[in-house]
Amino acid sequence: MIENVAALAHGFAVALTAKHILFMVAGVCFGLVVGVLPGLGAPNGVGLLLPLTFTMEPVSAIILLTSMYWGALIGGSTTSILFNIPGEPSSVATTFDGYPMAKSGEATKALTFAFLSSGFGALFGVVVVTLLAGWVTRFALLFSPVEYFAVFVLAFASFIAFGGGSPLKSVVSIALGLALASVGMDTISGSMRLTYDVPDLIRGISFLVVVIGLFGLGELFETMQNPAAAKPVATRLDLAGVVRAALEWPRYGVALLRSAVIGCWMGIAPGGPTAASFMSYGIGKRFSRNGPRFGKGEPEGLVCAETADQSAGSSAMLPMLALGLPSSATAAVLLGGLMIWGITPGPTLFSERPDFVWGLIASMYLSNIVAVVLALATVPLFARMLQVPFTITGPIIALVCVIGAWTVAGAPFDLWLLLLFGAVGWLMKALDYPIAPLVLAMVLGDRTEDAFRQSMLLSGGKLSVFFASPLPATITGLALLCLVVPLAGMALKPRTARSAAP
Amino acid sequence: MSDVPQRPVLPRKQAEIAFALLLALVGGAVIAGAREMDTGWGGSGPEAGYFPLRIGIVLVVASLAVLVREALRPAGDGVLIAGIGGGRLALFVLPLVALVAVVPWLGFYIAAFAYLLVAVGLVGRVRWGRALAIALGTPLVLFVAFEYAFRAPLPKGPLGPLLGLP
Amino acid sequence: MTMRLAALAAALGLTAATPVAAFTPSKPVEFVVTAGAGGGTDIFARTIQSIIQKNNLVAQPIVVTLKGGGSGAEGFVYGKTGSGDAHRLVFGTSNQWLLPMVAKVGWSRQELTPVAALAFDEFILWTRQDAPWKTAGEFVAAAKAGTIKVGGSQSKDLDETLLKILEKAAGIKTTYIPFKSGGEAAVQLAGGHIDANTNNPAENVGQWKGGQGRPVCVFSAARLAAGPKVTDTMAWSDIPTCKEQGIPIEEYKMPRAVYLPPNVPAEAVAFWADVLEKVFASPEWQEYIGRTSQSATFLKGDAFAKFIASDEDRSRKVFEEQGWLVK
Repeated sequence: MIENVAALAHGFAVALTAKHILFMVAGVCFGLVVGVLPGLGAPNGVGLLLPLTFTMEPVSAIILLTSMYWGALIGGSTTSILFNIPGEPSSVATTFDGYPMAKSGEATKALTFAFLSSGFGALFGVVVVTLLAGWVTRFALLFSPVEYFAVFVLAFASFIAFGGGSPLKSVVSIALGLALASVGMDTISGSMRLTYDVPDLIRGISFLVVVIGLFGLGELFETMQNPAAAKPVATRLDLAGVVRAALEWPRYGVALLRSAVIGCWMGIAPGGPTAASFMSYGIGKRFSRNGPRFGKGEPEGLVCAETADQSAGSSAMLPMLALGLPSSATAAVLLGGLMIWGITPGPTLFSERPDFVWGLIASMYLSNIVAVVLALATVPLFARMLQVPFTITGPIIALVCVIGAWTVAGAPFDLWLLLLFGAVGWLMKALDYPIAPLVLAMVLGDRTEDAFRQSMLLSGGKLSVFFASPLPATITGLALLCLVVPLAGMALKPRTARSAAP
Repeated sequence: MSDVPQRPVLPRKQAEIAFALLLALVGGAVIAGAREMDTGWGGSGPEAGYFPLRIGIVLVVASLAVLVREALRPAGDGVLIAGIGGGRLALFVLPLVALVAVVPWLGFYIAAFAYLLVAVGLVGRVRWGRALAIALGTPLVLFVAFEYAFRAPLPKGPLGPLLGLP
Repeated sequence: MTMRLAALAAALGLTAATPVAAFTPSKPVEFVVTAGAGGGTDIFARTIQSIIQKNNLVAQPIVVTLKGGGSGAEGFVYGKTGSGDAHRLVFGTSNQWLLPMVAKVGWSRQELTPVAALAFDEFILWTRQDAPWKTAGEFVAAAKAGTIKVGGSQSKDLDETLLKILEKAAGIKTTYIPFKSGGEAAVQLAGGHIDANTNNPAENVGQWKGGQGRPVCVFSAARLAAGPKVTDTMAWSDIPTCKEQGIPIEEYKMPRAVYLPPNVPAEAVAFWADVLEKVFASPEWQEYIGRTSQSATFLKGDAFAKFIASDEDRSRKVFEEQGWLVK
């Protein structure tokens, strides 16, 4: 641990040059723009800058690209909060409370909280990476498909079990999400599933298209249908509002810490940032005093989602470098970059290229701080967008949704899918079907199934494998507990209520 | 569009039943698709169609259960779409559908111009000067962002040859 | 006088660029990658992009797009729909002709125009660090005695096909576990959750260096090119071939190739083959080949077509035996 701190000091010496600081600021600014423009998103942004880095020093290149990544992640939560359009899968959970807050005139507070929580989560993740580098990689190696399956089930259970709404409609929502996730090529058998010989279905149904439809368009339809909701909200736009919100933010210390830990665990475990944000949101809803208000514009819900998302994103850099496993689409592009610069990810990378690794880790401290400061400065600008009359912003947002859906695969088919899911999202909302379970099922569905079937192949078809060794048994046990406790709670509640009455 | 103000156009009960029926049909399609594959539990775990088949069955059963529950419930005065709201929604959706339909032929920039002109100017009743500025300005900003800054070209339709661009 | 000038120009190679109806790109060129970000095909395409840009081989800008859905089917179908458009290059492997045999994917191999293959990636039998077997012979013996779990990338794809060929050649049975990518198979091997994999050199070299997996043999006719030592004791050329270890498999390689949409003019195919040949001759390309331990072979035209036909024949036999063929 001590030698890690020494190595980090050396890393700061690498990162703290005028050139690298310039790269951080430029990368973050570019990332913020890319994140805010839906349809561009972090993977496109990184892919776009990649050719520029072919001639750079690897450490400069990775600092530029990761700074852009942090900027894009932070910028991505902006559209989630202001317009209910998640630019990245991992910012879906941000919309649950972020958008209601913005709608009720608290856009400044929501954005400020989101940015600060992101920054906190990221820094927490980096600190863990710094202190536990060696241990974390050994831990990640323990994960076979059996453990993956257990982690996915845990993420599922912790979110689903704590959700509200009609149980029957939740089941419909989950089943629909799972069905959507299984369209396309099946990894295990190599055959096409549920494609009905439609060429456009071969690549599967894009998660982003579904989400932009369900959330972005669905919300627009609802607003159009219900004239009262279309009025622009009065928002205070000054920087003073940002400062006031920032002073209020530390009150959510417990939620911040809890979510950061969940995020780190899911970043390393490795379930990825999307699963992390859902899981943290679900657990927050269950255990926080403010839980019952989650989903109605409760700041703590926003804090839970954002913190876990970012801390998972930054702590996942470690398995990426040490194992070569990308945790997200953007990380995969970065990984491609590493190979082109002639750097082979692997357990020896830390000893072979200490300048590169520790320079990167040091830059993660700095560029996340840069990202938060720059993002906060833009809050008044973004909040002002909300004051433009809806007759103007409505069509522009719709156009942006269409472009966002197009850039996923460049297929006209996806645009029709977008409209379809816009209608479905609106109907589900109007008829009280919970949408979040569908989204989670879509994100985790096929990965869970793959992990399950791989486990079966490994064990020769024995289900007992999930309880055969301590690590998966513990995680699976926790997952079952998550599912059973609320049910038991429900069963017990009427009785306690009755016995309490005289 | 506003000749029947506030008269319920689609009561909630019917909407619930119709949507549940639709979901059950989707479930049926999933079952049909899954049956094209092996749906059993093979020597080493579930085959490709094992989970899709069961997901489809759950979807059908659960949505039929919703359907029955809603059908048995006394009709309340809940309304899914009211007259004015429905009209507004239709006026918002129709240009959007048109936009999606013409993008493959006209490209994004021309289609976006026409769409914004109609949606902001005609439907939104924003003053024409302003609407025109928005309809011209937005595609221009998008053009610069996507074609030059980000090199993520969008389809340009006839605009491409016109400007000597792909 | 004019004649002498012309001769001089010809000698300097100035007129070589003006045959009749030559093709030059007139708009930005799209490089379609039929795999996910960061995978071998992605790096293959981006390396070519960087060499073309550095040496100004094409005057138009190049945009790389990732279309890896359905094991690359997304990218090939997209290539097919660009009929006649010589500004859309599709980057892939032998999955261009293998995938349509085993899955309903929406294109047949004749529907894309092969341009050239620029590299052949090797397959190595990797095994976990603490496995008791050291040689291919011992591996085969172990497989006969118990169950060996072999991981690979995707199902009914190159890794599983190789494994089936190996099973038949050595008279063994193994359990195949498909993962999303070779990278995942490498990490699972490092964690000791599987016994072996058949990764390409670049996919497993990090783990090899770190003592989390070691090579048993390479499925190649000759040993890999000598180079600096990868670990303390071994270089790539120290890995024996599977054939010299007694497994009767001549060789098994994966081409990295470039295709064009259907119905493109012959001049365009020639233009791109020429550009790619220049890329192939560049020092940067040799550097890429060395770093990823592939073999440098350039195939175009008839030679490439012949290779496709023979590879298709061999694979079809395996698929037939396994019952994988569709329709």
